Amino acid sequence: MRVLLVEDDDELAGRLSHGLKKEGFVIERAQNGPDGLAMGLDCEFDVIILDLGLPEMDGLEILKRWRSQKIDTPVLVLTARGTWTEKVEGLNAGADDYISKPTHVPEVAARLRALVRRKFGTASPVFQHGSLCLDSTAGEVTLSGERVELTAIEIQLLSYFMHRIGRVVSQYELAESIYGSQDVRESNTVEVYISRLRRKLGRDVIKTIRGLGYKMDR
Amino acid sequence: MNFIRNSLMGRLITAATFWILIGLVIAGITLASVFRAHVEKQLNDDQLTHLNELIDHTQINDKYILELVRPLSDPRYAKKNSGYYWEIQKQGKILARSNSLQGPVLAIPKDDLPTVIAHRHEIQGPTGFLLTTERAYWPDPATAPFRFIVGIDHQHLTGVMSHFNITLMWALSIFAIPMIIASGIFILFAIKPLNDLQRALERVRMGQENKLVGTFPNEVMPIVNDLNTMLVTSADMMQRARAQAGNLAHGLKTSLAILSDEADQMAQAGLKEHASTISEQSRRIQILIDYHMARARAAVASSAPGTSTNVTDVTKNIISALTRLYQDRNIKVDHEGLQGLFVACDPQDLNEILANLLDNAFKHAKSRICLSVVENPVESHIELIIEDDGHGLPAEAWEVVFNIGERWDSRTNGSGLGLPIVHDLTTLYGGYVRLSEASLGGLRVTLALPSVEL
Repeated sequence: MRVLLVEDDDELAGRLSHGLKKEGFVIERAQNGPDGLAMGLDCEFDVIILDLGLPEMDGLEILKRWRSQKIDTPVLVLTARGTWTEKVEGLNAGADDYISKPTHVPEVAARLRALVRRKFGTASPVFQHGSLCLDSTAGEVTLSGERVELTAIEIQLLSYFMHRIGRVVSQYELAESIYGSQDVRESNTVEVYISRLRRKLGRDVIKTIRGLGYKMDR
Repeated sequence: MNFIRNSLMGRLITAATFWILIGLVIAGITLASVFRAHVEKQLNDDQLTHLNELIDHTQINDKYILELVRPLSDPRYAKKNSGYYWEIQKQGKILARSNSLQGPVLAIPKDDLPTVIAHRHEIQGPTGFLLTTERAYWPDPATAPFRFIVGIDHQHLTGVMSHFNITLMWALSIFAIPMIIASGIFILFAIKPLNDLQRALERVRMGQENKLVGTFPNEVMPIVNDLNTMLVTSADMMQRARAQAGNLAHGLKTSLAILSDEADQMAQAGLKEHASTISEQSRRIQILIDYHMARARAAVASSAPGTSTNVTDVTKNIISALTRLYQDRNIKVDHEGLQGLFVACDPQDLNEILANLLDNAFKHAKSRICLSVVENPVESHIELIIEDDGHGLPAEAWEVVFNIGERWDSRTNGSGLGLPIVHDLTTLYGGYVRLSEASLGGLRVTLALPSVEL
C-alpha cells in the first residue's frame, strides 16, 4: 500500500516511516508543503498522511488544493495541537480522518488500512474473494480455510489486487506499490512475486493481460 | 437613599431639586416683601387721599366751628365697623367721625412732628390694629388745632397679603414642578453619553461587540479611546499567550511522539514492561497537556470581553465534519431548530465543547442524532439538547464520566478527556452540562451556556 507522508519533522517522519514500512506500507515522504502538494497532484497514492502544521504552505491549503484538483485519495491528517477546531477544519477541507500527535504506529497503520478499505467500499479488514481470504490487519491469508504463509511483499501485492478486483494493474504500478517511486526495481522483480503468489494460491488467482499487466477477476 | 448615594443621576436630580426649591422660597419671600411694601404704600396713598378729601369737605366758620359739607366718596366710611374710619378731634374731644367708627375716641399719641405735615401712627382701633394718618389744621394759633385722622384696619393689609401669599405659594409650586421635571430632562440629556458608554460596555461584556462602539462627546471620547486600546491590547496578549501555549504543546507532543515510538520499538525488542511504563506515562502527559491547554485557553477566553459565537454555524461545521468522518455509519442528524443562536463563548472553546459532545453522539448513535434548543432555562442562557439513539449510559455513570481519564465504555476510541474538558469549559463560561436518558433511547446531553442577543 503506497502512502505519501507529508511531515516536516525529520525524526518523527523517520520513525513513522520506519514503523509503517514494518507494517507493510510503502512510504514516500515530502518534507514541506509545496513538495507534498506536488507529489499528491503528480503521483497516485493509496492514502496520504498530512501534517497540518507545515512550513511554507499550510496543510489545510494543500488539502483544499488537492480536493479542488479532484484528487480523491484518502487523507489522514496529523494534528499537533489536537484541538477540535483543527480537526473540524481538516475534515471540512476534505480530510477523511484525523489523528493527534503523539502518534502510535499501530494506530496510524490501522487508520490507514481503514481509510483504504473505505475508499474501495469495504468496511471490514477481511477481504474475501472466492475461497481466498485476506485479513489485512492480521496479515493472514487463508485458501479454502487453510492458512497460507506469505511474505510481507507478497501480502502487499495480494492486498493491492484485492482492493482492485476486476481492474488491470500494470507492472510499473505494482512495482511502485511495493517499493515506491524512488526505488522502482526491475519489472521482472514483480513477475517473480506474481509467480510466487500463483504457486502458493493457484494459477488462476492472478491473470496476465498481455501488454497491459495483471488482473484479479471478479 | 441608596438611589441618591449610588446614582450620579440621583445626586444631580436631588441637588437640582434642592436648589430649585431654595431659589423659589427666596423668590417667594422677596416677592411677598415687595408686594407688602407696594400694598402698604398703596394704603398710605389712599389714606392721604382720603385725609385730603376729608379736609376739603370740612368747613370752619368765623367762630371756628367745624362743619362737614358732604361725606367722603368711599362708601366704606359709611358702613359700621368696616375697617375704614375717620375722626376729627380737638383737644382730645371728638368733633366729628365716620359712621363706620364706634366706641371711644381714637387714642392718637402725641409726637413732636410738625402738625401740618401728614404723619402716621399705629394704634388700637375698634376692630383691631389700626394704621392711621393724621394731619393738624390750625386756623387760630391761639386755640388748639383740629386733628384730622383717617385709619384703615390692619386686617385689610393682612387679608390682601395672606391672599397674595397663598396665590404666590401655589404659583411657585406649580412653577417648581415643571422646573424640576425640566432639570431632570436636562440632566438625563447631559448624562446620556455616560448611559451610552454603559450600554456599550454592557454589549462588550455580553459579547455582542469586541470594542466600544458609538458616538460620544469630546469629554467622554478620551475614555472610550483608552478603553478600546485596552481591549485591543488585552485581546492581543491573549492571542499571543494562546499561540505560545499552542507552540509549547506542539513541541512537547512531537517529543512525546518520539518517546512513544521508542516505547513501541522497545516493546518489539522484548522490553515490554519498560515500554509499557513509558507508553503509559507518555499518554498521561499527553492527557494533561490537552486538558490544561484547554483549561488555560478557556480561562483566558472566558474572561475576555466581547466574545460571542454563532452556535448555528459552529454546529453545522462540526456536523459536516463528523458526517464525513463517520460517513459509513449513515447517521441522520436533525438540527433544524438551531437558528440564529449566539453564546458568550470563544469560538475555539465552543468548537471543543460541541465537537466533543457530538463526536460522542456519532460514536454511540445507531442511526439518529437530534439537536434542539431551550431558550432561557435560567436567565440569559440557552440550553442545547443533544440526543442519540445509542445504548446510552446508566445513571451511575452520568457524573463519573466527567472525571479526567474516566471511560465508561472502553470499546470505543477516546482518551477519557473529552467530557471533563466539556465540563470544565462550560463551567468556566458560567454554564453547565448534564447527562440524562434520551427520548430516542440513548444519551441526552443538556448543555447550557450564556446567550447573547445581537
